[in-house]
Amino acid sequence: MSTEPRIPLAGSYVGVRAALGHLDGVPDGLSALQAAIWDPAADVEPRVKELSRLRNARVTDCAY
Amino acid sequence: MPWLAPSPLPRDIDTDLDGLLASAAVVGGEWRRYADLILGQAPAELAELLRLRVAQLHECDPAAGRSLAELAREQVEALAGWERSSAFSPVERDALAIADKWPWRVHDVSDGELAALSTKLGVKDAVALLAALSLFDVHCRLQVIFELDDPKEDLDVD
Repeated sequence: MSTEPRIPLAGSYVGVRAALGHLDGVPDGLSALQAAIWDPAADVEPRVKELSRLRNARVTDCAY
Repeated sequence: MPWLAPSPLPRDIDTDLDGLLASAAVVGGEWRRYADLILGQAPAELAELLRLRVAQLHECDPAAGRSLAELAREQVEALAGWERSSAFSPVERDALAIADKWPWRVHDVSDGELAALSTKLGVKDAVALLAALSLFDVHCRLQVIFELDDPKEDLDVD
């Protein structure tokens, strides 16, 4: 596995948006989805969500 | 703001994926919009092929999800053994090879496999297809964990 990006980076995006930025409207759609998931008004405690996020990253061996 | 309806899911909603998302308030709506944005830009027949393949790998019912295109019967029948079949084009085989690794071995997807797909499809279609693969994987996981079946099966009465 090389350290070169597997596809050209889209615009000035970073992270997963550097790939998704090739698709119209998708980075903004992802932002809206993430805002809904992490909305502090949601009835799942932020701590539980963060634990789930970290554990998911750990078991899938990806960056968090 | 409720994330999910109280468990167990109410029986007066269709317990398919759309029913589940509808019960998930704001998150479900945003998820559906996000999914539609991606699926609207993915090559439909290729995406449908991968949707069916991921369902096979997860052993979940593809009828519980939305069909994206109509495929040749020969391809649908050969899909489980696609590696030994001549029913698939080179780009379909490239995409299926990646799909086969997606649920459990995504780290094994190689630079060469990604390069082949993006060279043949173009970067935009390749990104859309891979993003769609993520959606299919998540949808199958939701089907499995919430035991969502094809709602039409509920109509069968002995």
